[in-house]
Amino acid sequence: MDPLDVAQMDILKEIASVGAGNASRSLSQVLDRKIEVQVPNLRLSEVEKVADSIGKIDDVMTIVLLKIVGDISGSMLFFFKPDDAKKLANILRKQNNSQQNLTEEDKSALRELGNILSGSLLNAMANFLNITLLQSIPDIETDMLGAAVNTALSQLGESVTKVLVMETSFMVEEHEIRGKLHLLFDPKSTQLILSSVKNKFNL
Amino acid sequence: MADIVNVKVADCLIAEAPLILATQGIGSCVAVCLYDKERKIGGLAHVMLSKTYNVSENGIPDNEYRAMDTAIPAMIREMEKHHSNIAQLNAKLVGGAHMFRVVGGNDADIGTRNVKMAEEMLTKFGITVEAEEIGGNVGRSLEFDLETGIVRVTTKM
Repeated sequence: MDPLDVAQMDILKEIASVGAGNASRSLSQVLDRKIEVQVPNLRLSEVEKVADSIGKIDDVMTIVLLKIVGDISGSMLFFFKPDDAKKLANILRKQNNSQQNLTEEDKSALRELGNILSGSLLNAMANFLNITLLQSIPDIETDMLGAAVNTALSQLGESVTKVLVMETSFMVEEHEIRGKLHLLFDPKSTQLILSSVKNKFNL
Repeated sequence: MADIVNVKVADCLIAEAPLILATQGIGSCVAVCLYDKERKIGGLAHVMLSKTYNVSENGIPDNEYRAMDTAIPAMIREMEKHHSNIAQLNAKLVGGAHMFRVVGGNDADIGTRNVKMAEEMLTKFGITVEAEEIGGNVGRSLEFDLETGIVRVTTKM
């Protein structure tokens, strides 16, 4: 895939912002807390370098994974430190469980949260682009970041060598819960996003 | 204690004792450890996929160590450059986990395919797989001691 020029990157960044903004509003509603969200960061990365660019390979993280299907294909990953994942689950389930590990009920609460966030994110992007975006059911794992990310990426890696990475981080104020959201698209999907923008604005 | 050298994803290192080759966060990827007992030369590759997807026009993959079908021949070629006797090599395989079972589904079990391709390629070169620590659903890390050929596998879950 050819490198993206500045104008294309700006367009993609704008779309990522629309999606992330919508998702953070949903998160704020679900948790009934203020959410601070950062401006998305975009990059084109070789498949095997994505994990390294997200964090330390052997750090244990809790990851909620969803696949994006429809007109474009990709993956969506939410990352939390295990402690933060537990705090989030406690807020969602209105409990104060000091046990460290996530219970099965915690996991389904976090999966559902992933569902809601990706739903609002993809809805915003799909409306903006006039395309259809659907999401798979969510999965959740707590393990080494490298193991999880490379596993999640391996399907994409079977047909492409580079992926577009949209990254944004958010924080639940007052609880100091931090999370990261990554959207990964293959080059074909990236081009489709760009051409949808051109169609919409007659560029 | 010998020095430890890390191998990244889709990469490979060949080295001699006294040194420890290591790699972290092996999920559905498969780490291939090749060892020449007599010369104490070892190779470690952290391979992501089973088959190479080729994008270049000249037929040469941009990275031979991304997929198993090209990684193992490349590894053996490099081992030979280090004057290792291919007939003496043995192999150990680590990884091939099936994480994210809900999203991945059955036919997306890339880990199993990676292991299968590794075994097939090694058989083709007449290399025996001495030990395996594969499958399941946890991520693994390993340390490969080139003094002894021992591969120590750890998990964090």
